[in-house]
Amino acid sequence: MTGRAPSSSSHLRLADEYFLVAHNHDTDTIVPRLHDTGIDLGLAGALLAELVLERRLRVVDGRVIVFDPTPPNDQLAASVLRDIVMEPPLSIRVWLEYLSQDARDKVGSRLHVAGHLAQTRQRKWWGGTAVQYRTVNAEQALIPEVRLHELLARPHPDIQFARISKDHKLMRDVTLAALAHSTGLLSALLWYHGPHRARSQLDEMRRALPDPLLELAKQTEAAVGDAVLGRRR
Amino acid sequence: MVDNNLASPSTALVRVGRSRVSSALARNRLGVASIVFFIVSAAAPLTVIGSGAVLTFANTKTIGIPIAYAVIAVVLALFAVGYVAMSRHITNAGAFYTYVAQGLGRVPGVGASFVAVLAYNAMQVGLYGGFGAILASHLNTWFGWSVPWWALALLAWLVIAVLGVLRIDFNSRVLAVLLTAECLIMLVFNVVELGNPADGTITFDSLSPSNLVTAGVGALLVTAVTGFVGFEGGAVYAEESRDPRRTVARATYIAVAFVGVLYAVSAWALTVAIGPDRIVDAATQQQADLIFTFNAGFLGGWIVDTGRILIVTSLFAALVSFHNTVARYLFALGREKVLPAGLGSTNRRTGSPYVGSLTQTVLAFGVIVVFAAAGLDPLIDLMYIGTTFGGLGVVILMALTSISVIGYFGRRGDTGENAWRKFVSPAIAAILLLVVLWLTLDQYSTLLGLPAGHPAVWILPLTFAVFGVAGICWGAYLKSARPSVYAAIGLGANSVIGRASQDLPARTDSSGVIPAITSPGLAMGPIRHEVFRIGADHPIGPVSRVLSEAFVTGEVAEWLVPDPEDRRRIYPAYWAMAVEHALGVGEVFAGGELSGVSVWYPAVFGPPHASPRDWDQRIDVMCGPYAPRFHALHHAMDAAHPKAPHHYLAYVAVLPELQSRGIGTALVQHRLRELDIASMPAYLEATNRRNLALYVHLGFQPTGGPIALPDNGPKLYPMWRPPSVHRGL
Repeated sequence: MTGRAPSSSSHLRLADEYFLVAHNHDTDTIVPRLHDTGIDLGLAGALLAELVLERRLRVVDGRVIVFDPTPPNDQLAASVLRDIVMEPPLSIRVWLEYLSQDARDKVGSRLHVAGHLAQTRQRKWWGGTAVQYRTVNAEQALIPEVRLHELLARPHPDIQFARISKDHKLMRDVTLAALAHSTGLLSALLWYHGPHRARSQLDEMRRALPDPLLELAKQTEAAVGDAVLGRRR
Repeated sequence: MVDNNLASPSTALVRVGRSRVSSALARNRLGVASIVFFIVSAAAPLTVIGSGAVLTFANTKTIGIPIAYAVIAVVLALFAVGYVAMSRHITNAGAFYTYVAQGLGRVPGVGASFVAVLAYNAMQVGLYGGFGAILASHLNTWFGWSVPWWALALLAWLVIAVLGVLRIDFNSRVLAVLLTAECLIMLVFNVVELGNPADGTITFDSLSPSNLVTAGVGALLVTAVTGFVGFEGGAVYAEESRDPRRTVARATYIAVAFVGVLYAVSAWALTVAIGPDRIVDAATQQQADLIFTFNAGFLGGWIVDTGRILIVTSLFAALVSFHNTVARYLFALGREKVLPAGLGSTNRRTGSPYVGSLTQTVLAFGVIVVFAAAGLDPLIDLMYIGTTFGGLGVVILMALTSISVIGYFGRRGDTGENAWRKFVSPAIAAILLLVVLWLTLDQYSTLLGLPAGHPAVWILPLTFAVFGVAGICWGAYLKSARPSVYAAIGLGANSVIGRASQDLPARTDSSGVIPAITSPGLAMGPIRHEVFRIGADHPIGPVSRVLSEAFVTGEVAEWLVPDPEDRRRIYPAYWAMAVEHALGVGEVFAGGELSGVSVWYPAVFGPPHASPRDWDQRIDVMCGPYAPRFHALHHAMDAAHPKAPHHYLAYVAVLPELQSRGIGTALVQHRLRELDIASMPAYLEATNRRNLALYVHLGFQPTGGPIALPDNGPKLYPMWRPPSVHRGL
């Protein structure tokens, strides 16, 4: 048995949720729903968004600036913040590129340590083994997806979009949805409920996000697009 | 070395060593060699000589193509100077229309994008004809099978359709092996050809410049350009290269020179071997097989067969490369919403621009079917005319791009490029390319091998005009009807953020922090004047923000860091450092709900410990070129500091919007009362005369002379306040 018993899903951080949403949870393994570049950049965006949501970072003129260097409770978030503190102010794109290099390993192992994922070793046809993750509790792993679904697929005619900038939980969910949209993941989540309406609803919600989070989502989208145009993978 | 472009890690203000981030990112950057390789592999050398050059002999009935390759290499090298220089300053640098959009305006940019889509499509589809015909003739030679060319072309088409959607590019190792093999084979062929000249003498007829004044030179030049297409791809790597200023430029020059020499020598060697007077007839008879049948007479069969296989693989690689170019053009235009936004979507599993890719696939299918049904010749009608038609489009685009480079740099002063790169070289390139364009249009009938009155002679070039004008009309429509789309033309994937990835936006008013989640009503209450001591475990950010916001304007700030941009950047870090130290060593007080902050240092047993031990180094790192001023300020204040025991009021700051409400006075008075009780004098340096009066009101008196800062800096007014139970209450 690896890892501790899973704690309640409220302990999931934004990048954890993005990781869970970006994978299909089969019985013995997890299968990515999105191409590698998309997942990597989405996770990098989510890691930055975590710190923005905790008011550790601010985004001024496209640069990431430390607002409050107090380390967050989470080790990974603290190490990301430490990296940012030690650098001069760099643009969001530089941080996205830097963090995307190993975001998947780091967030995966954070989920593993927190007991949401377990490691399995898979024998490869050429003889070696590869470490893969599987969900410990598939129902819990689906919770973020269900929440996104609630948020987007159901019409909210009376939702006050102004609430998004005040209600922390709602802000977090909208940020997750915006990142999923930016990386092209949304079609996997909403395929059985007209994605069109969800998209237009998300557009309005996105606009109600505070500036730094909206900027982050847009920069992630542009980074994914640039990865398509740049010829290397 | 102050560079505003802080986005790229190499130009950040950190002087000591390389930061972790920049070295981590540098590991993935491309060097000159890899970019040269990417560029040359898109050019498919064996295809160009084995079929392109030979078909030119056959179709134009002239022998000047070797000198045309050499001349075009020079023209393109000139073109590349300005092109690469501009690519450093823009985003989406792989697409010609971006240059036009940024240099000549967005409306012509849309026109250029339409021309580019047509031109690259023509190139790509034209190559299908070559692939089908050449593979069919090889199959016939090897196995005696007679397979129709279109069946083979459709086979390749199907494979490319799948590869495009799955986003499988050729593995770079495979490409490297194929490319090296191609070049080696060409070298072997060249040696054989030059070693066995026709009539026993090596002639230089085909390299003579006199070929450039014969009829049909336009056809030669445009064919030569066609062979080079793909060299513009190097600019895509501008943002991924190790040294954005040099890597891509060097790689492009090397690639153009290498390819130019290779083409010119190979084509010349072929004329030497066959004989300048016989090459046209031989090429007409044997077409794309000429180079192999000749060399088969001198070399082992296997080496010629290897060449035959390599020409097919090289054609296939070129097909894939042009297919991807078209798909990316459509993707970028879809992202910009210039074309339907659906084109800008990526495949969720593979990340490929699959809608753009499928669009190109459908188009290619239509053209192949039409050519097969009409019974047209795949080599001459589809490959030769198709690719040179594309080449004509590329000449148009390059001429426009050169003019755009001049326009772009003409409007921007601070680019750091020299006049040669900005104006001279693009101007020469533009003139030469316009001459090439004029010659091509003038002699288009020679290119097609048709009589001058044939309708195709004017219909084909006119297509570009039609596409260009259609694009311009569409751009004008976007300008009036959809201004937000219009504003993002030429930004490619970055259209969503409305600016280039390397640019940072103009100053925004928002603080960039998400709003604090507080219970409503608290912040709206009256200003509270209670003063609290801030504990050492308090977060630094909110405290240092007050100091940084309050001090960012004013004489001293303007003297320390004259550039307001830089000051806005340096100050938060500087004050964070000061507060971090003060929270540990000094006494920090907050008033008015943390809208005012005062920092005190006790100086009872010697001078105050008012700055961290590594202050000097940290200032150097943080302030870069401005560090000397900070040091000067520091030394001046140290020198003037009184020796008698006292408490030192280092800073008092109130957020600008809340000043003049008594918060600052309350903050200082609070501490002065305590000092009065302890009979402790206080000392401070006032930064301007207005504050001086305020402090006099609190019992401070000017002491000694004002502290003059070097370089005509502002004056500081040291003030001393003896303890008293009566004053300041």
